[in-house]
Amino acid sequence: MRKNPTALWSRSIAALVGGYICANALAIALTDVLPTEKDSAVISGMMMTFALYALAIVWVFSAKTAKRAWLGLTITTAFSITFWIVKRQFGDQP
Amino acid sequence: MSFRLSITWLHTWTGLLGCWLLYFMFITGSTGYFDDEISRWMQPEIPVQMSSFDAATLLPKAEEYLRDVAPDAAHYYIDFPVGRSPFYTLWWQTQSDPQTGRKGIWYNKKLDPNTGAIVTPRDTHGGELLYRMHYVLHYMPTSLAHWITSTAAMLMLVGLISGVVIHRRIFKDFFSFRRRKPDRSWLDLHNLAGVLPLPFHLMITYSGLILLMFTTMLAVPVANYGAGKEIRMAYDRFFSEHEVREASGNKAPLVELSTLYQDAAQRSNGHPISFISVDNPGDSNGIVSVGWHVTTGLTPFQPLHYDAVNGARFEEQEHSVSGAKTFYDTMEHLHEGQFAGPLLRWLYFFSGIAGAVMVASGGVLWAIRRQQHQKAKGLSVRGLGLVQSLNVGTFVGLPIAIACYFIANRLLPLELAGRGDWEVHCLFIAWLIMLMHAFVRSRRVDHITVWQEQLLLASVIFAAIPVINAITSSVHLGETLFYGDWVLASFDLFMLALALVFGVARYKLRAKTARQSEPCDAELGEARL
Amino acid sequence: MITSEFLLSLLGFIFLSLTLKRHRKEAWPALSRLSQKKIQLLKIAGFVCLLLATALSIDAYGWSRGLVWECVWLSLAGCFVSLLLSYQPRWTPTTTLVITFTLITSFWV
Repeated sequence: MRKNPTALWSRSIAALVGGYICANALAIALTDVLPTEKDSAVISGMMMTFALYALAIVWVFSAKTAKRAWLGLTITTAFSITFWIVKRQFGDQP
Repeated sequence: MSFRLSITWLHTWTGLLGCWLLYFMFITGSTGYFDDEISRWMQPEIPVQMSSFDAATLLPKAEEYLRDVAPDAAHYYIDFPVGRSPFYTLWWQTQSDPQTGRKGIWYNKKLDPNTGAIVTPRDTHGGELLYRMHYVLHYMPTSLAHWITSTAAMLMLVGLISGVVIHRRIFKDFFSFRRRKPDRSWLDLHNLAGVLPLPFHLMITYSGLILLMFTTMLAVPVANYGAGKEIRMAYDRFFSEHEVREASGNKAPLVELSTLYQDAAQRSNGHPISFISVDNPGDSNGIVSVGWHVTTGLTPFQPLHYDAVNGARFEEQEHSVSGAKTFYDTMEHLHEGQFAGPLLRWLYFFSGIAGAVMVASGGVLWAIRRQQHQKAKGLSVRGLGLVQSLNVGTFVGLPIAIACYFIANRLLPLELAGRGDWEVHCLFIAWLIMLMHAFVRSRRVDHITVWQEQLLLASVIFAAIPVINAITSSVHLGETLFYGDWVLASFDLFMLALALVFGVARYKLRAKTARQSEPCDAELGEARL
Repeated sequence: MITSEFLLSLLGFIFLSLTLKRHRKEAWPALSRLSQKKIQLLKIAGFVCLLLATALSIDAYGWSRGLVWECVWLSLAGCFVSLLLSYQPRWTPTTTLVITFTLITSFWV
């Protein structure tokens, strides 16, 4: 582990901060997809974030390089937020 | 960097960062399964219950008191000293403010379970504060504590997942416990304490995170409701315990509760009645609920409802609850374990202690491995001394501090202003002293000696509790065993059991140290050659 | 407290532990050399016992409490079997017989 402390710090921040953001973004997107009513979906989304966060953390540490970890988190977050924005804009139309 | 090594690094560091706080949370949280019993012991002014509760005589007296003191209350609640609850308490809530909508304040009075007379117990925060500290900590705003404990719980969750992943031989080693080899046996203890109650650990961690999610996971609701009034209305909808029937505003006298008590007692299949609750007493739309501890499902009570004026049975309307709310409620019930009978509660308690043992053994294991590494390579490991002192000062020091909390309850003068707060200060002062002892002593002697000293102190101090109890109060073992008050007696007996556990631990540590002192030198000698 | 669910869980874990050579050698030397097929049978027997215990628990206490209790039995049984195999492995055959006998009589009654 002493071989590459920078990578370790990088992964730790990715996991801690990036993972939190990514998990919340995913949950927000998933909330819009759930077939139940809004109140219910929001609660379900909130409860899901912890599992997503934990998975994100484990994934960051199992990725081949720190760069890939960051990339994966960024792509997932961007995709989720885009999905959510698009659904908000066009979701009411049949 | 291989997958296993990465995940092992993750497990080691999440574990090490969180182990002391998680130990605190597991120990104080586990006491929560007996918070009422601890509170009972900490209020010795309440007389020992000498015979089974006589509702026929005492209930009418309680009704009279409530009618005198709080005729316009919004709610009454009478808690009987049966089953889990060791208290005979009357509660009432004042009316909500019609302008602000703010709910009324709850007041309570504790009564003698034998005569129904009012008792004024000493000012103490009891077992409830001890258990609440596991998620509100102390000396800080509640929301900050929620963030800190949720972070610890997140570390725990990651630690559990990574632990299962790296425990490659989880099936092969499932039943192993190798004694006699120093770091192997600590590893095996760590594994057993983690794997055997694994369903509990996963449940308690995840449900704990969920219970605090309204503080920590705000992105989802804010994204959907915005940050203003709508979000508060959504929370109100989620948390509202619906009124069975709204108040009508017309006055009508409350029916005699004893008749309803008798009726419910006949339908309860031999379970003693635990409580009577009245919504809107003195109103024509009032409802009386009578409940006993049920044995199916996860909600602790399924009360019967009666009309508060004519005493007729009232069927509550079925209302559908969303899947998400059901899941949330289930997680809450599982975490709190209020549904559990005595045996299951002890098991919950020991599972929590297993969690504490798991994180503690992890911390000790880290220190042992680093120390061996240090001895073998002749290098000094940064932070080892810090970890070793924190280990002994927390893993033995915190129990000592809790013992001091109980002793302070008996020894602090009754007239002391803020007495309840001072009991808690004693807890933290004692813990600080134990930590300082660990740091200061370890400059002169090695850590094993520090462990032995603190284990000895723990043993002595826990044994002292029943003795101090006998000297300062009348609810000591002599009385409680005679009258069969098992709530109070179990507390004293459990303190003695803890004294024994710490004593045995110290004895084993001394024996192991004596046994290892020679072979260790031989190993070092060989390494140098 | 010695309910049939707990006993079945004990039995299940004993069977599962015996699928590992290390434990067989210490606990039940007569079974040290077992064919792959027989080991598979032991594994199946072990899981069947655990499933049966779960089903009985759910039947007795309902879904929610039943599952909670079964987790309890599994944890306690695992603890018991670990201690048995670590401290007194030689007692395993006798213990297995006693458990089986108790189970059969309790089902008969």
